[in-house]
Amino acid sequence: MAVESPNITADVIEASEFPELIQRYAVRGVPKTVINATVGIEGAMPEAAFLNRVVQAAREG
Amino acid sequence: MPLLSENDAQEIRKLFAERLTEPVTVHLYTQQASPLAVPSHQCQTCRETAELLAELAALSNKIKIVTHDLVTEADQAKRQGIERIPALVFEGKGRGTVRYFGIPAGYEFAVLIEALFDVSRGTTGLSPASRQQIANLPKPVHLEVLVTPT
Repeated sequence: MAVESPNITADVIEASEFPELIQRYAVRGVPKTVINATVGIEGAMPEAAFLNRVVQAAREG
Repeated sequence: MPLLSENDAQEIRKLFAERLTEPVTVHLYTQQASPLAVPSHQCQTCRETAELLAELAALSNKIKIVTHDLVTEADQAKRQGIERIPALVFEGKGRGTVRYFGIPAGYEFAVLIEALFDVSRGTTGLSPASRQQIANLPKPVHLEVLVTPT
């Protein structure tokens, strides 16, 4: 997504190396995706549904 | 001893030749090994990550690695939003920012390879509808995907 959009920063984070993030985002399983440090999505999600969440986050800023 | 087996290296060399179209620069943020480093603040996977990237870069002339020190190049790190290491920032034809934190080992190695392909080509496997939808987002979005190597 970040390859396709100038407004997206996408980070992949190896969680076990950064335990403070596991705590901050209350990670109980992986993958866990966090949008703008607030919206959490556990596991995988269909592309269209995930995209809607991203667009919604961009509107709310 | 290399991290990549001879067979893997050959396979990746072939994939790179087929699928890397434009050059990619990978900025690696790390820390200089210092005899004075405090063990609890040492980057556990920096050395291995650097080795892995060097081995990958040797397999294609389209991959360039630029190594930065988190401490001595603090300004550059700040510009790229790097606060933890090891960190990789992929620079190529991508329009947004693609980064990787930690060592891309195990299953995540495939993620690293795919990221190189996508950033090289400036396009992804997303559907045309998705691509259109995110091309003009009104505000910045930060996605963090937390993974583990196995």
